[in-house]
Amino acid sequence: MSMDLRQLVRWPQRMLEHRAYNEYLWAYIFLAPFILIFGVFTIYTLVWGVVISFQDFTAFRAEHRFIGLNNYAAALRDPVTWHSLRISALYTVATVPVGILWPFFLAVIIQQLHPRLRAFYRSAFYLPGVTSGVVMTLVWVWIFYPMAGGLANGLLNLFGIKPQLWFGDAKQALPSLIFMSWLTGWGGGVVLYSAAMNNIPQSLYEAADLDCTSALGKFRHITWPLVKPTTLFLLVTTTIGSFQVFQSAYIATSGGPQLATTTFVYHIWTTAFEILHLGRGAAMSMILTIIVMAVAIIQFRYMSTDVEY
Amino acid sequence: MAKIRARNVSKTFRAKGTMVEAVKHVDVDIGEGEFAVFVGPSGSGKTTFLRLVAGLELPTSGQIWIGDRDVTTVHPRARGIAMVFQDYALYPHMTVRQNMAFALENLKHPRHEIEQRVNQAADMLQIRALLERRPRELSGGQRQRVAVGRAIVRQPAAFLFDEPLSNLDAKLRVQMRVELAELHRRLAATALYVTHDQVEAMTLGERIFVMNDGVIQQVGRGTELYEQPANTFVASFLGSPPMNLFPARLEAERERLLVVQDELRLPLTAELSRRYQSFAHREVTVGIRPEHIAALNSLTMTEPGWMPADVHLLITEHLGSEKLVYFTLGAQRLVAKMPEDAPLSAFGAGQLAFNTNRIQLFDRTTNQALHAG
Repeated sequence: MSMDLRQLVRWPQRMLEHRAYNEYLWAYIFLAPFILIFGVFTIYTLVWGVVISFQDFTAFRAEHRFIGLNNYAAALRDPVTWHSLRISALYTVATVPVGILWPFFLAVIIQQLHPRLRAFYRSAFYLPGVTSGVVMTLVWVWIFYPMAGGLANGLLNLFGIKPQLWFGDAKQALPSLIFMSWLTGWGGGVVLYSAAMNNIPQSLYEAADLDCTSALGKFRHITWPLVKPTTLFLLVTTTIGSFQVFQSAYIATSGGPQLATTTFVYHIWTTAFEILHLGRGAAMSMILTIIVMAVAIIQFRYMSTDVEY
Repeated sequence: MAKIRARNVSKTFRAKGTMVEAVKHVDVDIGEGEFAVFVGPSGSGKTTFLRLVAGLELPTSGQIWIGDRDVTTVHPRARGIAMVFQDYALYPHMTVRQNMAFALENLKHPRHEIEQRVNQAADMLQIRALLERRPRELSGGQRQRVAVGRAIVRQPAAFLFDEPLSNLDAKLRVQMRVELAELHRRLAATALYVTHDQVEAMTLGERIFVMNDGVIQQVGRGTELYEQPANTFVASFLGSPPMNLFPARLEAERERLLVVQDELRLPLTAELSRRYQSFAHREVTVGIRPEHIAALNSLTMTEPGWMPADVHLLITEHLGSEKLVYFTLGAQRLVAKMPEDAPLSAFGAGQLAFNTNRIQLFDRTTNQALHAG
């Protein structure tokens, strides 16, 4: 055998023995499960969603035709679409500021505590977040039970106020959902803000003391500006989360009463999985994606900062 | 400008269940317009003392005055002082102008006055062109100037400096040292400057407070501390290389005292023998600076009192204009500093001359300098 042919035969063996190849190979082996799951359940579904948004894809027809922007037009002509967008917008406007300011306020308080106590409260505030959202919503359903047996009505009864319908009243259902959001789900924000405040050099506060800065001044001119990256992160994620709210509406109110809590994602769900018009549901999902992206871009544009200590 | 006084000031911290006394019964008097430097190794208590004067820590005991006011328990914002931090502590989200104006805005000074003071300080420090930049866009030296500028605009009763040059490279440090000295001359400001660098202390300080283990070891002008150290710590801390210290015994021979160590017998000069007569036959620690040891018959030996001694030469480090010669004297390893062209064999048995006029003697037990009775 000639020299070149021998080298060719030995090439796969040399490659397997090459150290860099081995390192990359193992990296890909460990990444493979995530890539597979991400690829199938995120990338593939995203692409497929885009594709079917341009098709008359329903559960009643085996073949699906390309119909251009018809699904988008139909969605935008549907008054329920605009109604649900308004409900989602109201919900977002009412919950996002609280979802940012309340964790910030709590983080400021626990920052004054002894480090061990601080760690305890961080865990205590975060722990409820690991509870299932379904379970939490069911607890709130019980709290807002419309009869006298519900906790909320029981408290009102102590003050002589008659029982309220809460989730059962078209005017009270959305505020009840909003109130529920105010009291849940901010544990992660407390942890993030607390960590961000920990990273602010103590010398800045000492310099501020020597610069005759009041406590409020330190809060306004040091703490708040220097946790801006965390605020931006929470602003974007809570906004996206608020626009995507579905679980609480589905479990507590089923989007009612009288569409009072029909959020946009709830409307997408009923279109795709109750009316079984998946193509139009996909189109509405794309509309939601565009709206959320636009809001996030605006938030980044006006709030992004690169603070370096 | 104001004086700074401290009486019997102590500070104790709790660290891992034990009490650590970082500052122990310190008494300090810094005159109006004086540039006082506190120097010492890490953990000596100098920064803790500075923070006590700033009000960033409360003393465990004692009192502190700035001017005629007792400020022991007064909040930092009400002490009328300005501080330059080791890490500059510039507000990263504010421009240089905003950083410098911040304190004056908090004190509700009129806008035109704030502008005027900021511009004046910026001109003095040559940072006018940097006023609209943010700290991340500045070099280390520029940030340091901005930190100084922020202090200057306050027109405080006293300036406090917490190792402001320690984060700069060696060349920039030398440049900034000169600028700080000039600035102090222009402002005639009372300053309390903390550093671990003895060169900074010697070049900047009108008076130097040497601290170790929470206690002030000695106070005085740089030359005074260098030539007449109060104890072995001060003797070995100041000077590069540090003073040679070795144990010996003082023997009397006729009217002269001899430093005796192993085979070394170094007679002191008549004057020194008279001065230390009462310490004859005592175990002492002998100190002699490297520059007071020379090659035999070299040009360094200009004054009388140079005595030869047998040594064993080890290594020579050439520094350009001078050289460091490491040698053993009996069992002791010492170092000499001499001009690069001093005649000396490379290594092995040889002789060096010791300037016995410049020998320092310290009590072997207390490490304090011996003083004639």
